[in-house]
Amino acid sequence: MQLMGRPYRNLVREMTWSQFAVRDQNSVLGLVWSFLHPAVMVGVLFAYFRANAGKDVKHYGIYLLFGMIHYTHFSNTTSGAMNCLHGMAQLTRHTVLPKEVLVISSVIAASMEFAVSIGFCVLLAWFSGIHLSFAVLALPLVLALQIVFALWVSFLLATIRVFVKDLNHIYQVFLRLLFFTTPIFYAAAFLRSPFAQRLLHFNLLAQLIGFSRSLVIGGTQFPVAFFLALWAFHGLALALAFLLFKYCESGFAEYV
Amino acid sequence: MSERDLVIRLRNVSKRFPKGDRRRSLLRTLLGRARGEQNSESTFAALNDIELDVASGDRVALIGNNGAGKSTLLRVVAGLHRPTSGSVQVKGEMTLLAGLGVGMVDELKVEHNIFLYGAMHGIAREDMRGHLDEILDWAELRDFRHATLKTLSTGMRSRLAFSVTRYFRSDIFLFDEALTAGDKDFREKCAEIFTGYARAGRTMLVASHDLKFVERHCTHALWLRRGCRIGFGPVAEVMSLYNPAEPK
Repeated sequence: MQLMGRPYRNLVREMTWSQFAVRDQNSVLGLVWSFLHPAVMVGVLFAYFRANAGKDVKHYGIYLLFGMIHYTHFSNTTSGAMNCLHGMAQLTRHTVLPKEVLVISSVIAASMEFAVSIGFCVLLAWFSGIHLSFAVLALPLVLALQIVFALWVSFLLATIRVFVKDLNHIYQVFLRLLFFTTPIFYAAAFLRSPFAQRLLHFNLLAQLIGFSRSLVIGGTQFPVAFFLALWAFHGLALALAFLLFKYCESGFAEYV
Repeated sequence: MSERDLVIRLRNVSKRFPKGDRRRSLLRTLLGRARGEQNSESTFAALNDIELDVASGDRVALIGNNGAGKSTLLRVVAGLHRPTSGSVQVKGEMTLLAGLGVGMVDELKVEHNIFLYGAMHGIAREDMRGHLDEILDWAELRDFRHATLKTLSTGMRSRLAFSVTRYFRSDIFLFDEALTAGDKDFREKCAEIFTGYARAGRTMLVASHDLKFVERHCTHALWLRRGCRIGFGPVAEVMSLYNPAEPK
């Protein structure tokens, strides 16, 4: 099944659809939950935090929401994809299909909610009086970059998870740390230590959140050159993570 | 048998598995690396120096008691298991059927499972859609098109999965007991399909305990015992020597 050939794309599409469709299937509203969940999450967080926090941050509610949505997507997607080879053990052990399809479809299925949430957030920004410029049209590029980021991390985690059984627990601790060290509910200026500020430059999730906020809320100039450099970095990281995954693939059926 | 006709070629293939769980915690992995520990865990041989040549169109039965290495051999050929030593060469697209319906999703409708199962074996939804009615008819499930898979009995699921497999277009099929499961009627239906595959010149490796099935449908047999090759040749020849009641 040639990479990116028709059967391959067809398989990714079917696997993505099936993962997306079975989510919340046991509930009365079925698929609607997939969209309702991020919508409710965004709505509640917006209403609550606008009234109570962020006095020093312009449009704090929207600022917070972009941070939460980016973080939630990254956290949910990578955690889900990390376990997908085990979660679909029958496929990992007993089928000849290219195993990266399981990771890719898991990431895409989880990213659908992300796209809807970001769209909803832009609408909220507009309703709340933020003047949206044409720069918003570049937002899909930021979303795509975040998905590429989540994808290469997912390839890496899914590979290591096969051989290291406690990675799940370790990663949950890492995600908790990431939440507090990323400017999600506070502004970057809140970190007064120069060391913490420097460290922030290496926080890839913080960069993406910053891009989204910059395009929608404004206030800071969008760093085009840096954005393109990040695309190159994530592209390279994706290629390397994918190669590692393929190198280890022949061991998956035995270990899972 | 000329080299050109060979589609599967195994040379001195051995496969060893560890006796315990190989997955370690991160701490143990890192400490092991730091101390330069070698992998000294005890293993057992699932396959021992297996040699096998399969020509295009051959239908080879893998016979032997449980634990003989039949399923492992199929997985090594399929590339799911890397051999510990030896070489495996395979020419052509492969389909491994290790249990019918592997990958189908309980919560999805029968119709969507057909598309999903087809996609897993390289068939696009658009192509599968054209065969949908025929697939459901063959499986006797026309009235269940919009039912969720979990409402179907095991027999119905097997019929559905096998009905879809009739449209797989691989050069080589690897069956792990998949054809010999189910009741008498199902086996008869499967036998018809298997005959069709044979007429179409498909190459097959079939792990089976059903000796009647083997004698009726296979051209060659490979007899395995505790991972070793005991005999290989025309099916009648191997079957005349084979005694399934032999001690393990």
